[in-house]
Amino acid sequence: MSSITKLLKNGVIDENPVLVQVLGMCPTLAVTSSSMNGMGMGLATTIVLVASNLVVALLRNIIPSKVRIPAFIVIIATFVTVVELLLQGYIPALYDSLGIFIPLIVVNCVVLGRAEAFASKNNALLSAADGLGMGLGFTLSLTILGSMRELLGAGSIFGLQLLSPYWYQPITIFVLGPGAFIALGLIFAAFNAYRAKTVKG
Amino acid sequence: MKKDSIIINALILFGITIIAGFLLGLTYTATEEPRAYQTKLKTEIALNTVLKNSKFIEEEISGEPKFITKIYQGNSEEDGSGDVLGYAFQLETLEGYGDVIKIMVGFKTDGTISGIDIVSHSETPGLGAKADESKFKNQFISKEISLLTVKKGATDPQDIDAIGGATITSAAVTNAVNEAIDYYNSNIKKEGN
Repeated sequence: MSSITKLLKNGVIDENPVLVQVLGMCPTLAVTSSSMNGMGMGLATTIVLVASNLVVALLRNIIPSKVRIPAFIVIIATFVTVVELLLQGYIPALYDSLGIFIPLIVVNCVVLGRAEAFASKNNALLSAADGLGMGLGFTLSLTILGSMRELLGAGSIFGLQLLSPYWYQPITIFVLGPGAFIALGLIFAAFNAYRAKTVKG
Repeated sequence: MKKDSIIINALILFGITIIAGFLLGLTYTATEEPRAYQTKLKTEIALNTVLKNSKFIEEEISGEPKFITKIYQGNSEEDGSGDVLGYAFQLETLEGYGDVIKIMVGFKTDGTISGIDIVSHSETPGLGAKADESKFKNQFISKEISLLTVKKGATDPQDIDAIGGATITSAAVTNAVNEAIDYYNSNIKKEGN
């Protein structure tokens, strides 16, 4: 049981896919123009990560090592398409706002990276836990980034207007591409400062 | 045969792909109904936003308009025997900043625009995506059905105030609406409705 909590903490803090491993930068920078989009993308990726890690772990002794990468991609792409179809049918609002970024989960290096680095060497339970931890870490990073960009760029978080337009002039660049890099850099700096302090202590 | 021969590798990959394909087909079929329902629901919501209290009958499109994809007659009766209340045009334009912008616009028979709705779009959040906010959409309500102009800082009654920082999106929407206006004036109004 303790190994599972350790895996979860590992994904969220110690080896956070975005803030430590710097993986999956395409969706991280592209979809986080609002908190809702960041969280939605994070959760969709989490579902795919848990499912693909689980299946890869179950099939790890069947998949020959020479064809493991195409096999992983087929498994990941299948789950991504399933998630896409389900979102389209049941959560159309999220499907509309994530749009073309859902199919891009297939090529998110976090998902393939975990299949290769963890799930292909560990049992199903641990792999699912690893997927969940990494997914939550990814979701957390994207939500923080999305909230920061939405707050500075539009004055709101999750659509809730916090900074009144009467006295706050939104810094529009934060909801555009360049703002994603600026905001992510600031979050990296803050996270590294926190890590440096805890590691020393 | 050796355990890692190319044939066995290929067969295992083939097996995985077949199972994946089967699962995808299953999900596709299982979600077909809700997905079609969502698409239909979206169109219906848009129709009811632009033209209230009407039953809609799809009409044929004459000629080859650039943006118009569907035309609906708004009638007071389901079978089209009642009074014509107005017309709704579904428009699709690629002139925006992102992918296709799907717009619904409604015209009332008294010669005014009853409203527009953005059905779907991929414009930049915070900029072009503001086209879907009521501040932009409400500008169209009660305008005369004659060509509109996009401007920064609208002055004329037929002017549409462009969204700040999103002139391309504003112009794309207005251009598409203008085509519907033109079509309405030259093809529908003449019929004596």
